[in-house]
Amino acid sequence: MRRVVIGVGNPVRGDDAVGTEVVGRLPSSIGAVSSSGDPSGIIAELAGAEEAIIVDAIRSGRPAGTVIVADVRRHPIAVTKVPSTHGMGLAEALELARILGTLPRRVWVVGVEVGSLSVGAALSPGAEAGIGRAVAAVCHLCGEAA
Amino acid sequence: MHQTDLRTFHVDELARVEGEGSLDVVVEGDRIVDLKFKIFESPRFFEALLRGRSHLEVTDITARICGICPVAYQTSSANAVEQALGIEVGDRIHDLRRLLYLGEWIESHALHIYFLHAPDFLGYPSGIELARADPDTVRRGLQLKKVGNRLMEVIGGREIHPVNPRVGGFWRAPTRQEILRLVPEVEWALTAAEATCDWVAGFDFPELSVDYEFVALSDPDEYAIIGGRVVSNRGIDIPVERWPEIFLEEHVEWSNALHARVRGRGSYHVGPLARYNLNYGRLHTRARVAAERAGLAPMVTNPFRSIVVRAVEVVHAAATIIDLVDRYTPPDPPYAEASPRAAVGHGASEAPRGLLYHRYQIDEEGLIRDAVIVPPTSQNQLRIEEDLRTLLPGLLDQEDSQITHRLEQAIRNYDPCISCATHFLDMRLERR
Repeated sequence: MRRVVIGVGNPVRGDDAVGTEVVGRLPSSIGAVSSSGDPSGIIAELAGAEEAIIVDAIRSGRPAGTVIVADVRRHPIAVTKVPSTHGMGLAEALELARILGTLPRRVWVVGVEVGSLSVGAALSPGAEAGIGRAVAAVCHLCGEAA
Repeated sequence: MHQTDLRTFHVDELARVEGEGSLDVVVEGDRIVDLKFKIFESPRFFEALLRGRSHLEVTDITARICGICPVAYQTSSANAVEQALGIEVGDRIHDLRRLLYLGEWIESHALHIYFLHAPDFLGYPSGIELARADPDTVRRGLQLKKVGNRLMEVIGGREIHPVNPRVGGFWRAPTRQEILRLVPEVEWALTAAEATCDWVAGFDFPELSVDYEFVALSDPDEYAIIGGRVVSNRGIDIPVERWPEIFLEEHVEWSNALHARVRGRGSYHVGPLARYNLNYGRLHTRARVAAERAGLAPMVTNPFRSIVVRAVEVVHAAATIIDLVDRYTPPDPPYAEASPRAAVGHGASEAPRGLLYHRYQIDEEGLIRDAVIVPPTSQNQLRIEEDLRTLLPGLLDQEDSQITHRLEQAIRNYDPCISCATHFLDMRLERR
């Protein structure tokens, strides 16, 4: 079964780096790629996969560092008018893939709640803890030891 | 008309524009009392970040300023450092730069045309609804963007931002084989670009004609992209190092951005429309044919037609890439070097959104003492506001929501890249 793991992040914008940080800390047995959030790039990565795990920073009002795991097929993420790097966020990319028939059968979003998103800021302590939990969550989804 | 009444429009978090921005308008009767286009751009963090860093790091650091146009930053920054140190890179490195940069134009323009701007013209709230109504067209847009990405991958390296470009050229030059392998995709991209042009040419365009001062780079031998002189349709014709004499940036109190002006004059317009109007004669033949078929004259002054001009530039990019691939010879060595010296260097290139200017002061050890980076969107900000002031009176008899939509569409004419980086997922889970 072909599975893709994608970490979405911006390394220079504080806690927005969590997705790429998680990818960097996964065991090498889990092949994972980093993405800047470019929706067409994400759609391209998803093509042909049967399962996808996407790790991203989220802002949902929870305490910084909280990790949530969402089964996107069962509970689609609402598309909102949120400005994102390329005018389209992850939710839009997934919805687009679904419309075009290229969304994998199983899609998980592992979201790490952000604290500071300032340019140049280091990861907040909450985010650091969240990254560890997210790594564990991805490993669990992949049936691997963390 | 109504008696005097105050109507306010407020658009927070402009959708489908990269980054963050908002628009505040106050109208009394048919009089504009206040109009502010706000940019929540991160403060000029990168200019400060560069101080004390090595001149060799500029390409890597500035590439992170923009997720959609890293190559533009790498090129302008390399140009500035190379000028400071007297580095001549030669034709083969120039060709490789053109290949990479044109790939970025395709990628950026395809994204903007299909996902950010076409929905406005077709009455869709976003690219999602467009995809539902016309999935084949959207697939074409995605595929076109993917070709641009492929070029960036093969030449730039497969990372979040290209790691192969460096001051003086590239760490590694792709082999001729690797470049030739791109041909089938780029040939497809050319026909897809022409189809894109035909598609957008059929949109309904609001009537607006503005007497802009257009500013772009110009080169005698090509449709300028990697460098050139700075020219305008009102007599500016200078080498890049004279940029500070002609242009100035003023801090605006209610916005983090700086407003750029031509000294002694006012706002100006950079981007595809400026390039097209100033360098029309150097467009690739295929692009000129596409422009003619799309009903474009050699001079376009309606900003709403910028989407067509962008499509023409995608045709130009694909056709030019095919020519460049045909003559590609790997540069050897892949980069040129020179010892550091105390100097000031200026560099500019044509980012997808317009002229991008960098200036660095380097010390005798090669460390950056001072940096100035002027993105195209900053240069257009004042001009965007003026377009909105021009449009608004003619819209006032419409519903607020219609007015808001038209003003948003007008802002998107400039494909503004307001700030890069926040892509977090604002999450609302819908449990069915």
